[in-house]
Amino acid sequence: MTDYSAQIIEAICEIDETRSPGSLGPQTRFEADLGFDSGSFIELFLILEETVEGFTLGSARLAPEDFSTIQALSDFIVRRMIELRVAA
Amino acid sequence: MTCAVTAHLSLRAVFDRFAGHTGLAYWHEDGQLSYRDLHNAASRLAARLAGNGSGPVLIHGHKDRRFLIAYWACLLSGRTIVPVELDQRSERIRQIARVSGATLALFAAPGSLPGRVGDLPAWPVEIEAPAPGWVHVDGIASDAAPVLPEIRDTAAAYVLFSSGTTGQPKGIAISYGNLADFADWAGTLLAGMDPTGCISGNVRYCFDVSLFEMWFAWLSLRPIVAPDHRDIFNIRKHLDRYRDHKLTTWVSTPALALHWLKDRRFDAGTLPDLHTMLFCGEVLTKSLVETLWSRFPGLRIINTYGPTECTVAVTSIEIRPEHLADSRPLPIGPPRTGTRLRRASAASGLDELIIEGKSVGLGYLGDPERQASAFPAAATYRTGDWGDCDGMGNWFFAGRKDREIKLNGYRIDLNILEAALRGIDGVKDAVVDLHPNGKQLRAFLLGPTGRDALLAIGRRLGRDMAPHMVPKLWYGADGFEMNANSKLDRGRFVERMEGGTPAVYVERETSGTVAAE
Repeated sequence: MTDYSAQIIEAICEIDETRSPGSLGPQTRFEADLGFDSGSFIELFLILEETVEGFTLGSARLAPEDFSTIQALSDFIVRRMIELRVAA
Repeated sequence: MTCAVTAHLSLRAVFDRFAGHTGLAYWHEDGQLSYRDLHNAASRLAARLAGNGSGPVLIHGHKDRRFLIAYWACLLSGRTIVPVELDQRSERIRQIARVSGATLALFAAPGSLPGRVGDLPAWPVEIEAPAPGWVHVDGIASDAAPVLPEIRDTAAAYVLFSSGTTGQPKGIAISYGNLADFADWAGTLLAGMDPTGCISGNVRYCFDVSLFEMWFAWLSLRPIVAPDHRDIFNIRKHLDRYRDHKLTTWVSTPALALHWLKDRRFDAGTLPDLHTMLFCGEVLTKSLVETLWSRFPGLRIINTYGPTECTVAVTSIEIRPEHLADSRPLPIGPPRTGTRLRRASAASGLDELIIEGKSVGLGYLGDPERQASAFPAAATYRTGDWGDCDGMGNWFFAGRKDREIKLNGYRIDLNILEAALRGIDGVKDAVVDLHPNGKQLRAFLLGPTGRDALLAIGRRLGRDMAPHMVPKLWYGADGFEMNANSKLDRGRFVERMEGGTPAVYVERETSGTVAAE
């Protein structure tokens, strides 16, 4: 199964230049470990829409569990990409 | 002596225009509402409310269309509105119910009706008319003609709650007279705006800046298009909705606009109809205005100022290029008709802003000491803000007397937070400030060190305080420098910890626990 953790980690490091990719992993939590707030999430999704080919949030609804950890967000993107392919 | 009852009648006149109007009143992802539907559903619910007591009513909801039905039903029937968001902790809802004296809750959200809300009996808010002849459990027939009471101008139309000392919610009451005066003012502001398209629905209904959005829409029979805060990160979806409904009028805090500006598509290319942005609730900066004008050439930007205690806002001014060139901060404008601003001299050489007139609300529930100090005379409110006025009648906001700050539109008194932290076992002293990025609160503690100890304290504070009051970043140290007065040198204390151990983050949750590792 495709995993988008690497792109997510790259995006996090772009938002917060003090982070290094090596310090982040699938279980890293956005709020608890990285101090993400709503502004950081907005930036994260904007970067991911540019860097993950074909990915767009579109009319998708986000639930808090979808962006709890890097792994959870990666799983969300996988599901969203399937929806987008089906819609196309 | 007779009591004036004209405010309720003037608000009802606004409502009466909804009857039979098939235009869109409200758009939300879960469903929309025409003005006719809003009129009919609110009238039915008002009839039930008028026949079931007179106590305040909690409206428990978020952005669903049911919220507006409940809002108007309460306003028509003279039942004071007490809005409570869905993400409030149940203990806080119980406190709000107790302080407000509410006797009923209206559940204004989709899904199954909770048995009770904050220990109160809860009614669902119905959108569709029940079958003819249907009789509700309270004995009121669904097709009963509403018999609405006569309501005095001095009766409370709504009560909003903010965080008070020791975490007890503080209720601020606004009368029918205040609300009708606000609606009159909103009508004059509308005169300069594009009369077509939709109004933003950015602001939660427990935050009074939402009154601009509601009354702009209702007075001009235009729709509110309301993004849901569940989706707050999905700006592109909301941008598409606003574009589809031809957004012409935007209302928010400056902080929200800053968030949206992170998306390069937030510009005149995506929103070609956007004509006016009105800001309230925080200080508007020149840099934000410059960025907005670069994205939306020709945009009208209106700055407003005012406390919740005085019905949302009391001054307004359209920002012009010459204001950016001026060495002073952006003006907040002259007061609205019926309201006066004056300065009260203080020992510091700065002057406190005093608000007088029709916008001054009823005041605090159950807090006579604070009431006497903040409302020293009839229709007079001491703002606690420093202010100045130029020769043209324009006012300027010059900061707070106390250590109250604004974060995402919420008022937070840092002294209260520090006092609460000092009351927790193991905390010898505490400094709370706003991160230089202006987005997060930081707590610096003397005594506890280490992740676990700091998290335990964050969790403890989260039990007493509303989520927005709990600092995000936590630092601890067990040694400190003293200043010349043998007190904690707050500046050096903060500086030393900033450069040391990385901060511990404490999540904001609303379900009870507030901590993370």
